[in-house]
Amino acid sequence: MEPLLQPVYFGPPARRLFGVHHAPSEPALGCVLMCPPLLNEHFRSYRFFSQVASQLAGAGLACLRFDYLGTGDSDGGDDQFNPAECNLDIALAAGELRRRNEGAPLILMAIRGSALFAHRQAEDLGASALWLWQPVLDGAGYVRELEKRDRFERGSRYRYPLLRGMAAANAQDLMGFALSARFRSELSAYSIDRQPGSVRTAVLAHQEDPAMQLAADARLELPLSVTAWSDELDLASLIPLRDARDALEALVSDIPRWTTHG
Amino acid sequence: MDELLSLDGGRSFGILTRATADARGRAVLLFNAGLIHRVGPFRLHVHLAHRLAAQGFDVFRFDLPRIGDAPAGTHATQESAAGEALDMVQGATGATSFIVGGLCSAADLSWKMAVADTRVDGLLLIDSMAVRSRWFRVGQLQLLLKRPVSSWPRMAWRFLKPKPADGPGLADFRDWPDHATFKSDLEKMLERGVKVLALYTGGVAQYLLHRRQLDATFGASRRHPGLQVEYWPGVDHLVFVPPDRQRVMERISQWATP
Repeated sequence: MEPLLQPVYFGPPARRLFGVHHAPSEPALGCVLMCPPLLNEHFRSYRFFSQVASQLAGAGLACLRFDYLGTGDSDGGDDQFNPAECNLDIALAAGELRRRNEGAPLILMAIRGSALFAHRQAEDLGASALWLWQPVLDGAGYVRELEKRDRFERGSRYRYPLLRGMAAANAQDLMGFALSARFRSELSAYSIDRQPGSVRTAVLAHQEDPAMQLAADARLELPLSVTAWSDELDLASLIPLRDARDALEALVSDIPRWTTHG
Repeated sequence: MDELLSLDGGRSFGILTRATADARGRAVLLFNAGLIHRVGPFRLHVHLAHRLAAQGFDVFRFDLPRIGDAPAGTHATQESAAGEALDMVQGATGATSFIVGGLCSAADLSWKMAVADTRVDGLLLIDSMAVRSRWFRVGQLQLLLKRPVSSWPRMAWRFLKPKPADGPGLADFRDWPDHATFKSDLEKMLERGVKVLALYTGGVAQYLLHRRQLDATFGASRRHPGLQVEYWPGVDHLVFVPPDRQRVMERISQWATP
């Protein structure tokens, strides 16, 4: 039987979130909460992480992918996506995933910018493991990178061949989204401590990614074909799942390692 | 409030935003822009859905096979999957007429749906088909003259160099009918009462560089009152900056509710 994909809304009416639950065909060996990358990276990689979730479900792990408030299919305008409140969404999503997979140990899989939030919460949520996928380590540096990229895109002759000067945006807009005045300062306040945490951790990244220097129980190398998307705005091609299979298989080859509290 | 509708026997799904104002009995279907999942570029579809719902439209957005969350599924073609979505939305909302549309490949699919399905009475095309004509060359020349002299040789070479016969071309990325069929189908649709809004951005400079190309593209129907054609050269193909996206949404909602 193939893993079942179930779209779901959850959370209180004032904070209604959208998610997709990937259910394994047998009772789950563990459950993986996939915290999505932010802003443009979210829709750039959406298909790929849907496929990753199905792959994990095929190995017996239930997965829930969700959208933060004000992003993707969740309720709220773009200006309601505030980094300081992402912990609320992660907690709601963890609760929803646990409700659907009672008793299954929780693994947090945090992708790119979400790593900034999830690594702080893993212990509080009682997660048995934290998987960091191409994690952003420094929120302030990330905001600066996004600002630089935003200016580049708005002035790009490739993007705007017929426009003189830069495309005009509002002061709070960033990477195509009409964000709140709080967004940049809130995201800048986050960073990842390079010291080992109490939750068993795996890092998945390109070998030259500084994240591979993090203290971790496992470091799984991803080829450039699987990591380059984080620097791409246009969806010119799909991210090849086949190139991530080795890393994913390594991850699920010893599920008890990640589902048993250390 | 958005709600889920199951598609393809539960293999796939879409999101229906029900009319929040008095329902018009008219629904809007937004197709995937290229490989971008149902939210659209920078959530364009999400925001547009809520805006149109406030004007009395039921709006549905979903993933075509192999895009976003959708598996390959059982549909042999995108038209078949889109047809099922129309049926599902009709069943869920009671809508009797539809606007279909979207950006880039979504415009191409919308065109085919509007030609084939008489329930469609509104067609929203963003960066749809255009013929190059001699005005494309004029556009290239104008573009060249706006750039620093130092860049002219490189640009001129790029414009004039022979393209490899076996290299990828527009036909590999887009699904356009031949021009005669396009014009004839357009005439038939306009006679049928279909209202068409065709917006073009400056982001498709590989095939559109001059507004006079659009006269050639739409031919005798260009002045038909059911057809509105606009060229926004200062906007990019993905409608990257929020102020541009706001203008695009305002224009669409104005067109949808004349």
